[in-house]
Amino acid sequence: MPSIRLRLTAAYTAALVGTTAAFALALWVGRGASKYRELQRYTSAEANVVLRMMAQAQMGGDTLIQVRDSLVGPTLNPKLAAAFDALPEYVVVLDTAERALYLSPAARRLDGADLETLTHTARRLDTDRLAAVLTVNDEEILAVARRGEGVAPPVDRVVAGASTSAAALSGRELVGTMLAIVPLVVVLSIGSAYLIAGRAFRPVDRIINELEAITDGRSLHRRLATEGAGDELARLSETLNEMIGRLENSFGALRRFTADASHELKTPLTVLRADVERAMSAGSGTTEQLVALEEALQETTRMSELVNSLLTLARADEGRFDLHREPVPIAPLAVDVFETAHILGEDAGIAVTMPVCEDAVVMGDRMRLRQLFLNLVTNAIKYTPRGGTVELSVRRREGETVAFAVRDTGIGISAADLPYVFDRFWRADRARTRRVTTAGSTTGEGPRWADERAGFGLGLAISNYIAQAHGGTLTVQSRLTRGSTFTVVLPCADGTGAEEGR
Amino acid sequence: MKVLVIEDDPTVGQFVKRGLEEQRWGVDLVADGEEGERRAGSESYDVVILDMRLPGKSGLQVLQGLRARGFERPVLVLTAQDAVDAKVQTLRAGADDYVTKPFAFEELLARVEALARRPRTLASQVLRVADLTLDRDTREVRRGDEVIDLTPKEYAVLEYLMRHAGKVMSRTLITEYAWGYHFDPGTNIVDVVITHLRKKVDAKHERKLISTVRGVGYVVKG
Repeated sequence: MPSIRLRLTAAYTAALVGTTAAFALALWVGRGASKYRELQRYTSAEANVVLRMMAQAQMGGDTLIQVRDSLVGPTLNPKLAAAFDALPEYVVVLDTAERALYLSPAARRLDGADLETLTHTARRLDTDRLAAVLTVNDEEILAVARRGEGVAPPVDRVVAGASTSAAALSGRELVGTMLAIVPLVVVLSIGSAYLIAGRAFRPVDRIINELEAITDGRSLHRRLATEGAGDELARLSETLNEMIGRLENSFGALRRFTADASHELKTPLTVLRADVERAMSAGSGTTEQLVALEEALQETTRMSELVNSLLTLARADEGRFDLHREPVPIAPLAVDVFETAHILGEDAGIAVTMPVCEDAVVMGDRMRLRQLFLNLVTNAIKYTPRGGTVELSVRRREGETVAFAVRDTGIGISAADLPYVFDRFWRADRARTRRVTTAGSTTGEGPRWADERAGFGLGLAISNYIAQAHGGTLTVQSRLTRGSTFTVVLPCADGTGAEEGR
Repeated sequence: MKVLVIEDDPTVGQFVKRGLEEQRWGVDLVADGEEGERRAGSESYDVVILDMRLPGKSGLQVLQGLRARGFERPVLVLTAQDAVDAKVQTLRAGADDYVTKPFAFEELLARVEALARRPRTLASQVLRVADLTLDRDTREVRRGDEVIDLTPKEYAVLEYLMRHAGKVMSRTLITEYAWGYHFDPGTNIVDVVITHLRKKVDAKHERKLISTVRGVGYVVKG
């Protein structure tokens, strides 16, 4: 879906182009009608000239009509006829018997049928009517008739006609002009429409930016400005402010719940754990009882870890990711994690290597960094089938950063799932565990872990928060069935200038 | 050596009391903040263990009250808050150390001992089971005359088992000791390390020191 601004631009442009086209059409039609009126005046004037010339000749004593040949009938005085021949258009002089006394050169050039049409129209043309349009010689002409007043009979009337092509041509000219103008109009309207739409949406953009700043979870006490009271945007801002208020309230409630839950959940867990540990250390139970106690202890530990994870994420949402910062050398930490990874890999039939381990010091929380690295490593081993490899590496990078990367040849993550990997409660397991277990069973072995259960789906979310809280990033590249690479990039504390910055 | 435990939850209180008594500490258990503050002021204790969440007067108030009246003995705080700011707050209020709930007794004991500057239960830093010795200062491990080379995790697991020689130690506790809290106890990691330890410690000897208790954990005994 294109942005509203683009859609508005398109709508404005369409409206402007449509209006221009309608205007051009109206202009064309109006211009055509006026052309016909002009043409009519012109032809009437021509007929009047003919009549006046005949009247003058008559007053000068010339004979108008002469009969040279009884077969042809009466014709116009040749002197007059020669004068009329200079007229450019169609001129026909009729006598009272409706015979053509004179045909202008244009009329004489017409073939029989067309001449017949012309003379027929001339004969029929009522002199009261203004004009008639007829087609001769593939050409539309407009004809008018004038009665021969002041001219002695047998001259009855004069018919003058002119081609309408002059009027029609002006239409084509208009179209040509339009074709040249339309692209210009389109470009101009797109430009101005884009600017207008942009202006109209500037307040909306401002609201969006402010909202983004407010809803990052830390500034919920802020509100949108509601100037320009009464308009739609002010009302929108007010509604959004109400929503933010509600959000602020519910986040406040969540915070209080978090604090309460930390006690309400941890205290019973402490009691449970104390009971179990005490029963175990009593040393008086049977082995069966010890097994049950060990299971209970394990579950208690898992529960505690879950509560801790939930609290960690709840605090991270509030923007309080507490770190106990100290200079942490990354290489020894990576070596420690590598040993654990190696042991897990041995159990899972996976070769774990660490070909590169460059040293770097990060200002950070040792426990959290260890948790982050262990999370990535255990995940990689969990989702890599027997016989695969997991490669760890620690590399210094340009710009004073250090990258801890875990590359596996595991089952990978589909492109559709990749964007959700760091969402909490996203369970790679839903898609992944089943396949790992199946792969394991083909080799005739049970599930990978002693207690094959999917995690809570919080590990990667927490890992991501840990990386971000250290001013770093956690990224993943993956291809289904080919494996994944998780990379943590952290800023170094021991580089040039980096230490002074702290 | 005497400890005052101010903890309103009877199970946690009893757990701490008995655990410490087993280590030959004298323990007084008080469930109320006011009462605890009074007892701490009137009797001489080597360490005070104080729960932060108490009915009535809170742990923080008790702590501030004690310090305000010039109480100088070390105070170990039990807290459910693992947020750094909460910990910093208790330390600023005068606590010497803290343990986050839920805690392993092992950790609590180690911190109480450190605070009381009490000499370790074992005079020597050398742990001994039959002809297997582990020196906690030099981190040297020997079986008879032979020096055994262990990785850090193998060392941690063996040290834990030898410290509790003769007792069955659960896999969960071993995992927690060697890998910390943020590690899934559901993995086989302890079993793999034990396999390594058996190869290094027991394989060449007729007398096996490491034995398995199925479904529970492992025990080192002579």
